Amino acid sequence: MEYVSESLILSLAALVCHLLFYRFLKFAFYFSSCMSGLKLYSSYTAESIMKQASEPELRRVPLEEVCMQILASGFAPRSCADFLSQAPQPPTDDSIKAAITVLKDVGAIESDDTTPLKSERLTPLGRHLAKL
Amino acid sequence: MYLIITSHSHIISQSLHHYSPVDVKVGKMLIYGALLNCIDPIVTIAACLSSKSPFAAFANDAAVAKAKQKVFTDPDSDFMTYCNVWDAYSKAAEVSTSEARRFCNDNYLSFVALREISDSRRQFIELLCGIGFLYDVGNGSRRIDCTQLKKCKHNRNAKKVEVVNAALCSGLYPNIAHLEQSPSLNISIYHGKEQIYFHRNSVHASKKRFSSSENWLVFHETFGTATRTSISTTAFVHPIALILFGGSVVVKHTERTVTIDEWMNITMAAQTGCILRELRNKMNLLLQGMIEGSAANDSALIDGIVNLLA
Repeated sequence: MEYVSESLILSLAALVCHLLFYRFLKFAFYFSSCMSGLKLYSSYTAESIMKQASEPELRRVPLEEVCMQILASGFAPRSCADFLSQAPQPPTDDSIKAAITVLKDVGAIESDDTTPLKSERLTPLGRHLAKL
Repeated sequence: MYLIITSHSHIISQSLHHYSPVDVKVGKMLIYGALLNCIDPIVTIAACLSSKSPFAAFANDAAVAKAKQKVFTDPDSDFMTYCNVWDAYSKAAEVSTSEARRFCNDNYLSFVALREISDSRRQFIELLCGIGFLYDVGNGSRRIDCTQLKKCKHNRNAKKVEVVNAALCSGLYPNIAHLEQSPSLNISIYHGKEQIYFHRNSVHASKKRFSSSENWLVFHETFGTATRTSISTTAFVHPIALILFGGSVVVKHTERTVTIDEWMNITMAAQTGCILRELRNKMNLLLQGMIEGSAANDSALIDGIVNLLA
């Protein structure tokens, strides 16, 4: 399952498996396996397209819960994006924005648009949700 | 509560209980379900929506399976269908595990899925007890067992379908669609500006005529093909629920409409709209009070809202 941050949905997609996994399988055949489908690849594809290792979790999962935990624990005085950008491999801006949009739609956070520095705050509902 | 992001940006979050965090939308549904005192159906529906469908697919005798599964169908809401399945299953499960397994085989239901739903239900109830939304005054205990859930005071509105649908709407928002029926009985459904259709799995798909009050739909799943988008798992929801639990509300005094999230127009007197908006703020204050622990569950406010809906 891959998360498409533009449309906010989880969708099934063909993923090229990463090189570590590929090396693990290399003993037997030149193939890569993704969940249930198998496909044969040439060694050229393996070396040019496949990534070194799997994408870090922060970059491939929906971030709603993470953002909410960050705000609930008070790690981020101003915004989640600031805090998450300190990660070694920070998530994309789009996926953070998507998560914030979802949280706003749900009514878990509210932001102050009046001040130039946008700050995000948990609403009462958000604080209850963070405890779940 | 800990949140650890490792050097490879893997997330480890460790909360006080050993469950993984609940999806925000499901969480909201559960909280409002507890507040509106219809907790049993909401916990069941939330568990069904977050696990596999109990309706298993049978390739060999699909027709028989479909007929058997149809027994549980609720005429007005796909969500209540899940509740019917659960109620029947839990009766069988009370007897013994083997009885439950036989029940599933007889009715072409997935035993694995129902076991999973049972686990999620237990988890949700425990979590809600943990944050103080469920408690049993009569017993004096702060824990509520799965078996007592039907009888506890947080379940007294379970029979009021409108109230259950309102709690669903709070969680599934913004999955709302507007249904219009022309005098010639043509049905068109819009979500924002996009036209959508009923998926054939939905109980409403085969209906030809809708009553005039059935205008707003809440849906859980969308299926997309190149040409059309269809929605499944649907139920009708009261427009007041949209104002109370939906997005930003704008009251237009001269046009006598209330607009939610810039596309849902509901015709009503401006005063009514303003009062409903005030009720919304009161609900927020209630939740705020529950964090501080000062205000106990304000039953007068909740009962008022329930009376409005049903």
